[in-house]
Amino acid sequence: MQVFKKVSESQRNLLMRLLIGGTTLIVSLGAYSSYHVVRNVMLESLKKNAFLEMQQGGDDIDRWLANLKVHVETLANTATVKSMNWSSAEPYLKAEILRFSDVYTLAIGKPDGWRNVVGGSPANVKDRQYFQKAIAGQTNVSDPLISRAAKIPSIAVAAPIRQNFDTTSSPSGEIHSLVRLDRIAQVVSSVKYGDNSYAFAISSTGEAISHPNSALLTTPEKPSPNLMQSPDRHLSAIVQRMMKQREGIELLPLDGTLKYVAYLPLKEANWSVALVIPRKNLESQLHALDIIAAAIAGLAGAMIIVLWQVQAIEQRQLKKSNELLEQRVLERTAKLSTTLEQLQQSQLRLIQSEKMSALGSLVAGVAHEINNPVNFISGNITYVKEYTQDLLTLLQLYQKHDLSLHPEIKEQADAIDIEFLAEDLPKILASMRMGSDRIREIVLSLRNFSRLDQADSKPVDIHEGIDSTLLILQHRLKASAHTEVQIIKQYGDLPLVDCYPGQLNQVFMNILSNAIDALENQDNPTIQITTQQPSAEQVSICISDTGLGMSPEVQQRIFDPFFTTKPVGKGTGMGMSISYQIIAEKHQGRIECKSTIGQGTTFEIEIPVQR
Amino acid sequence: MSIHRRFFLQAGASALLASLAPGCVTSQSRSSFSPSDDLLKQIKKRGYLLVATEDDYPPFEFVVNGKPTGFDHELLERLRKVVPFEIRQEILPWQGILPGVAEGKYDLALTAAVITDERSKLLDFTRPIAESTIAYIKRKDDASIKTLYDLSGKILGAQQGGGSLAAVPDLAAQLKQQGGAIAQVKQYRGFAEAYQDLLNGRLDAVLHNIVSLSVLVDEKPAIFELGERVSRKSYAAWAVKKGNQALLDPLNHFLSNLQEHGELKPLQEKWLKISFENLPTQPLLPGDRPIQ
Repeated sequence: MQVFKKVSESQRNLLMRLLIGGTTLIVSLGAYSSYHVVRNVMLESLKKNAFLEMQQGGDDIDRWLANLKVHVETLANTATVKSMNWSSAEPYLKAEILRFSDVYTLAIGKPDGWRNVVGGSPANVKDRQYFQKAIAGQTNVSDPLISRAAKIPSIAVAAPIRQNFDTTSSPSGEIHSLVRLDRIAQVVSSVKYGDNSYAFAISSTGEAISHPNSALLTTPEKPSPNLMQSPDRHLSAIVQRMMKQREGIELLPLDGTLKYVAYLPLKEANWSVALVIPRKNLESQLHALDIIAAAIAGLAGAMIIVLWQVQAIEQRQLKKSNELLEQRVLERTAKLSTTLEQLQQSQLRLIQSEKMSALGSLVAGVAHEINNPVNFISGNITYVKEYTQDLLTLLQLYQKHDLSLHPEIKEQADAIDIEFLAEDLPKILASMRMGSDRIREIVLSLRNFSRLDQADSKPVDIHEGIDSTLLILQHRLKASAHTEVQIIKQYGDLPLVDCYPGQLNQVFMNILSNAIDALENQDNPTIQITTQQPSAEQVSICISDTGLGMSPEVQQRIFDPFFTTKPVGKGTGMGMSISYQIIAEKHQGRIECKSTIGQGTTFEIEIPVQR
Repeated sequence: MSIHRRFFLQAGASALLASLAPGCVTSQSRSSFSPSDDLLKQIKKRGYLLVATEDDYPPFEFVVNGKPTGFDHELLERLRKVVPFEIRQEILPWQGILPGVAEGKYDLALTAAVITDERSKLLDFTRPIAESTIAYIKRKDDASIKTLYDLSGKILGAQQGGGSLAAVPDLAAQLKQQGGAIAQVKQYRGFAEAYQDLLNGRLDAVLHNIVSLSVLVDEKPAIFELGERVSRKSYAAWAVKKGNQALLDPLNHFLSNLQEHGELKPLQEKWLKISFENLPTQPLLPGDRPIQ
């Protein structure tokens, strides 16, 4: 049953934990997935923001390019330029160069391709795309080129020069401004998104227009490497998409780490710009969410632990209360069994005391009954002695004065051996007297011992009690096969002690008879009885024997009821227990046992003089 | 940003610890800013170092698309990465910067302040970050000016009350040695007008500091050409309040480190369009005179 209960309990425990664990798992999975959803939404919005930033940057660049275009177009529409007269146009253009900070030079080309340029000598630019487009009537921004006049990496912003406002008419020439490539770099690099982010721009052919890595840029010494053929396949992939005029934002490994790249085409030129953003710049804004998530996870974890602990505590408490219950049951049982034992004890004590009382009344009755006849004998024996003495004296007188005795008398005298008789009779009488005296003594002792007449406490001579007990035990003292037990009495000067003499005698009886038992088969068996008055209130009785002695274990239990070392049937195990009760409870005294194996045992009794 | 700063604070702090440890001093090649304990304590008490930069002083400090940029700004960014504390930047007009530093309102004028006798009385300067010598530009197509001495008999433009005007006596003295003289010096409030007048022939040359002229010529190579230096050499440097040696020392250390590692020259080329190979290691007054 117990095992069954335990199993079911542990199963219940397991079920509980499974329930908690399962719920936790489901909740955490739910929380985790919602965290992911929220995070993704946030990330998307952040990406969108970054892209918007890129778009803004792109718009800025577009506006800047548009300004350049407008500037050139405006110039193309001035009368000075329209005149196509270089000598008159040059000073004007110079002033414009100074005025318009981005432009480092201006040039006017004729339809045949020859162009004049401020600060340079005439050259043919028919091969330049910007020229071809402008002559075809299209204002345009060129890809990076090295200017022929100043050998500076530049872009050209070219516009057709028309003599009228008809945009369909064929141009009479073109005007272009040249802008330093690093000027563009400045504009492009102003697009940023946090630390270590950078923007770059590529031309329609995949050439770098602006890039923080100057090795990728066109210089007079070497043309720009095409980024499409970059050894970095991720970069080349992005560049390809940019060349296709696509836009977007992607996370990809660039320069060794994962980075976001937002890219979009420009409107004013055939270029595309990209913003490279270190991942953390974008995702650092998710930190708050991550921290909240971590905090919630931590809290949830803590909650689970607490729940777990609470459950464990409950379990422990349950176990504890179970144990307590069991312990209480055990205690009750022990109490009950103690009570039972006490009941048995008191029953036994009752029986014993009934026995004692029956024995006492028997002894008292017998003593009383014997007392009278013995008194007759001992009372009359004096007279018998006197009379026989007188008779014998008379007989002797007859023998002395009448020598001629009748032969019959003489015969009878011989027959009864009158001389022996006369000699022996006093002895017999003395012996009878002794016997009767002994009987009287015994009767007295019996009466003394039983003290039926003395059930209440009264002042008693302790020595008298000891002596009568010894007398009763006389037969046992002498019963030993080898030697008689020697009794050494060292009686002190004791006052009369207020006590229950019958019960006290019973104690002496128990101790002395145990002592006699212990002295069996011992050399020089001795019992020493010492009495004294250590203080005015107390008397002490000390009974020592030179017997076997007791082991400490036996000593410990000597006053326990039913404890006996005697063979079955020989002792009840109640004697010492009753003695203890009589001394400790009835007389408010103290009884102690000191014993050493092989040396003997001493019982010390101390009882108050007055009760 | 803050993560970065914390990283550098930590890096700076560990570098500082390393520099404090005896025997490790020689190994600190990467740290180029080693403030004293006192300075650190002082800065930590306030929580940051406050530097003032100018709003519109290209190419040293200017604003593009609302973002401060320029030579000094780039130096500031580098400084930020090596100091174990926060640097706050306040951008203000030129007029407020040096007085503000002299008053103790700002810790450092992180701008290209020309080292002059007058200023050196109120301020202490770091080692120069650039030359501020006055030079001239001419029209690109003006073949009449080939050397400094060709300026004799020419009309020159200079800024009213500026360093360029102050350089005129120097130039006049040089020309006088060759028996020449300046024809006329026209004073302008701003250089834009002067450049305009140069372009349309009302002037033959414009005097200005060599950095500004280098940048201008770099921007407008088609119309202008840079001439020679016309004055004694003078230098631009950062300024701290007079006696603030505790800040001055680590700043000098930082700058000399840049110079030694060859990082200053590319920055000069990038921003100033001219590089100065042999800048003095001490702040010097115009004419290479030491500060007393």
